[in-house]
Amino acid sequence: MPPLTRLFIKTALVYLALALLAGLARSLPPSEALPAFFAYLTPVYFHLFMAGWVLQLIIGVGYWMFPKHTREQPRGNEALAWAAYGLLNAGLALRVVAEPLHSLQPHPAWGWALAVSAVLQWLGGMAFVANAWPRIKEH
Amino acid sequence: MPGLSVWYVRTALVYLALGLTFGMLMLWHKGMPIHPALWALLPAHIEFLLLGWTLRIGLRRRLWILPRFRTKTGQCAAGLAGLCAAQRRHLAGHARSVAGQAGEVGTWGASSEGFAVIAFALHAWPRIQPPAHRRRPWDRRHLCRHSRLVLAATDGGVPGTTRALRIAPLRASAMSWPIQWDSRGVLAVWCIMTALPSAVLIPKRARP
Repeated sequence: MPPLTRLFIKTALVYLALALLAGLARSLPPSEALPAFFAYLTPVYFHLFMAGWVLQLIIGVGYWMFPKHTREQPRGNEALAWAAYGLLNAGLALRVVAEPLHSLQPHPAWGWALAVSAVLQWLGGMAFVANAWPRIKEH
Repeated sequence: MPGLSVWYVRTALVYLALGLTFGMLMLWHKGMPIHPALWALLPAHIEFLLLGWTLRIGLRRRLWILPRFRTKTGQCAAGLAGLCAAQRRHLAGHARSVAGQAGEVGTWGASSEGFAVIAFALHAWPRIQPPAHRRRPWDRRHLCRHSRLVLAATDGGVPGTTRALRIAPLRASAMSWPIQWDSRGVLAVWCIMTALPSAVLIPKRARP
């Protein structure tokens, strides 16, 4: 199993745990003892689960198992694949922090953080699509 | 990679790209407002990423990893036709997201997606079976005559006439359990139950 696949899957497992924790936090009954941002964890929960766990698991296994691109570069452009990992996770981490805080106390800084997070995640996804597309071919 | 798998995965990648683009636009708008009409992309974002990408990649993985028929005729016209029908109907069903949820197009799209899943289930059902040496005599239809004779001699199993008596009570008890699932619960269970076994099975298949 290539190192990048291992990294994707281990990161996905971490996101699964975080998603389940976020789900638990948002399901707690409202209380003054709980932090105020718990009430705004719903989109964070969904995206930790879908973008953090499901998407990264699929990308990691797909990067390993898709047909070879060429003999010289069996898994396509390695730099592009690593960029996909870095961009996707940077964007997702930024989103996890900025989204509930922006919902709680709107501020231009959190707004720009969300916009940057959106672009980072999009670039990460596009990097994976660009790297995987030439590998999808018949024998 | 078989031709049908190529189409499945390429279509899934297109849906991934579109779904991510819609999501980027909405998240940017959430942080730095652009235009309120962007929120109308939310159903398409969810549909494209859940059904267009995740489900399609999952179906393609099931297509590849499920036990295969021993003979070429087993991987047959019926199976491939079911998959092709699933592919066509799935693509047709996504018209619902583009045209909006309401109206005849929405109903037609939703029913197409339902037929697509049924078609795939009909294809995959006979492929879900234990290893050859553990199958009951009535499950060995696909094996050659020699294999069936060997297994029958070693197995000593009861002929298929008792199958109904064994299985019917189990089916009746399973169907009598009332289970109510929230749609998110169904999705979560489906994602976890398909992803985790694949993580176990794939390394075994890749061993030399």
